[in-house]
Amino acid sequence: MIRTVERKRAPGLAERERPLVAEPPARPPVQPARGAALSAAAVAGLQARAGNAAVSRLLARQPTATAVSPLREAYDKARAERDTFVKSAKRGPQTYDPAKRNADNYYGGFDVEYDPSKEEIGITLRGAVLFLPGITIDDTGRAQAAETSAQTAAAIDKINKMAAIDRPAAALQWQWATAGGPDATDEKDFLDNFKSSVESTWRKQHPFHCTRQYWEDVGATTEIKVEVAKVDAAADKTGAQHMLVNAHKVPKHFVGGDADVSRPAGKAAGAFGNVMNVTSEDVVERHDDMLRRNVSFQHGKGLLAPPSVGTVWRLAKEMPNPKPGATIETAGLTARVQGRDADQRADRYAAVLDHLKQGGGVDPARVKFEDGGEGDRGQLTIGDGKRQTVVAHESGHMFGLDDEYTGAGAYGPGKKTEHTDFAAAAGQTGAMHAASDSVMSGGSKVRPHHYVTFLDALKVVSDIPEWTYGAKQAVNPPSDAGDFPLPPKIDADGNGTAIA
Amino acid sequence: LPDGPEPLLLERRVETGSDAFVQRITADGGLWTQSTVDADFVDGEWRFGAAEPAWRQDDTLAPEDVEALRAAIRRSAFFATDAEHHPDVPVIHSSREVWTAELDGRRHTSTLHGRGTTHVPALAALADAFEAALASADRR
Repeated sequence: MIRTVERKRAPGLAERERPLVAEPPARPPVQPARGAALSAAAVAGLQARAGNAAVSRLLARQPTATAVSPLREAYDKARAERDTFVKSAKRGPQTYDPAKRNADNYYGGFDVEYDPSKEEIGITLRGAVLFLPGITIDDTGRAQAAETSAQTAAAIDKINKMAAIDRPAAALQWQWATAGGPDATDEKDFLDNFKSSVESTWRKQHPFHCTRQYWEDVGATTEIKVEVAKVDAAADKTGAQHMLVNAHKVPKHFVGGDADVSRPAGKAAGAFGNVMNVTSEDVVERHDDMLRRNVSFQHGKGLLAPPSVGTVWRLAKEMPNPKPGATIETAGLTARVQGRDADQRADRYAAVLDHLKQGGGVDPARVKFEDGGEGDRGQLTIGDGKRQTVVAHESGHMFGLDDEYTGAGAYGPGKKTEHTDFAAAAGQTGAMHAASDSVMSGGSKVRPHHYVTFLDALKVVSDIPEWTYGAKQAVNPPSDAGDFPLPPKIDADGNGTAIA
Repeated sequence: LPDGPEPLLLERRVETGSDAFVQRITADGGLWTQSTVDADFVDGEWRFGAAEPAWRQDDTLAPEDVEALRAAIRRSAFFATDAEHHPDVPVIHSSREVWTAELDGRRHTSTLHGRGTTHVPALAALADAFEAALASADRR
């Protein structure tokens, strides 16, 4: 039987002062031996038989010079243990392998430590960076791709259509400065920007606190430390570095490129067996705009232009509504609409809403109107619209998180990610593949469920399983009387109801 | 994407996310390209952006190069390869290489996931033959 709890509160009273349940009638009087010590178990037993108020009166009659509330004893003991913990030495560092904690995971790794005196969880990610060309010129004078994306393939095609004598100059911008490339400080810039972008994106986003009784004022803020250093060969990566970073040089303002994380030797390779492939431009904000879609309207009408109907429908399919009961925030949409006047802009906004509804059932409550002034254009912005820095996203994989953007197959809109169940077990439900401003989708926002591996790592390194999301809380000692676990409430059918 | 020129002999499609760069050689030796991405080198600077996908013919292979390519396709055992090749270990967010060939009345497509990580001998042989054909056209 599912039992429910109903707490009735008198407005304006603090919780401890409120009469939470009515005292059951016709209970036998409580008559323990005068002056006898009452254990917590004895108090609980008395409450079950006689009720909370009766036990409160009983305890109030105990000689004040010798009686100590058993809950007060428990409080004092817990606080002493808590104080000892807070004054104790730092826990860790130790290595966290996401694949050993989440059955769906097969990548990532970092070190974790917890400093009780600072109430700080430290996450350290170390990488060995191998600087590689994006394009080389082979012995026959033809350009060959080292970077494997469609964008570089297009550049290769462009170079190989040049006269052979012109090709080396075009390929030069795909070389690091140490190999003759034109950007003098590019390797240092890469290392500095990698560190700063990952640290600034991920640090101090969501506090944790301990949920052990009377330890709720112990907190944990997350600090991120990224240590990346150049190596001359892949074999030079040390055993303490979690990843080899293959950094392919591309020209400034390059758009796109391959970025991925894997464990080439398999899941069993562990937290230090990762390879990250990125380009030299992946340490700065993307030059393309993944969170915006441009549309146009039929001149003089309140209707979308035919090509824009497809744009809106495709976007709608990529932005499924949250599943019922989901606790994770789902990105909204801002529709900036132009028109001849306010009436036409309103008509056009209604058309956008209509196509979002038809195309993917997007809940209109997720969409916000923005007046774009006069004209026939519009722009749809997903979430906060902030551009992503790719290494911040890829480092999310190192922190044990899957992609959340959409694609074919397992990446279909609304499908579960490889961290969905793991996050749900920590109370963050509804993670899915969707076009979003989340850092693991197309944006830069680190949401609470992206901290799920940090939360788990905190439990591991502190050897305390009772941690959860949220800022630390005030802890008050129990009052000397009346603040006890409450007895079952008896309903009309005689069933007891558990009190949470 | 628009339909490609026919009859097809061999096509390599590099896909990164929703972007694609495609090179196709037709049975008569036509060398065609199509791309959703643009890379341009102007006044010593690279410029990148999106491109409207449309097929354009860049060159025509010599008949002997077409015959060499046909022979290489037959030798590669491409038509016996699986339709999908995944890396030994999952790779988060990598490019794909989609090969399609038509020869001797058969047409087959095989997708290499995790480009640069996954190695399939039959597809590597096709890539070598494809590059040799392009290099030969380049030398003429």
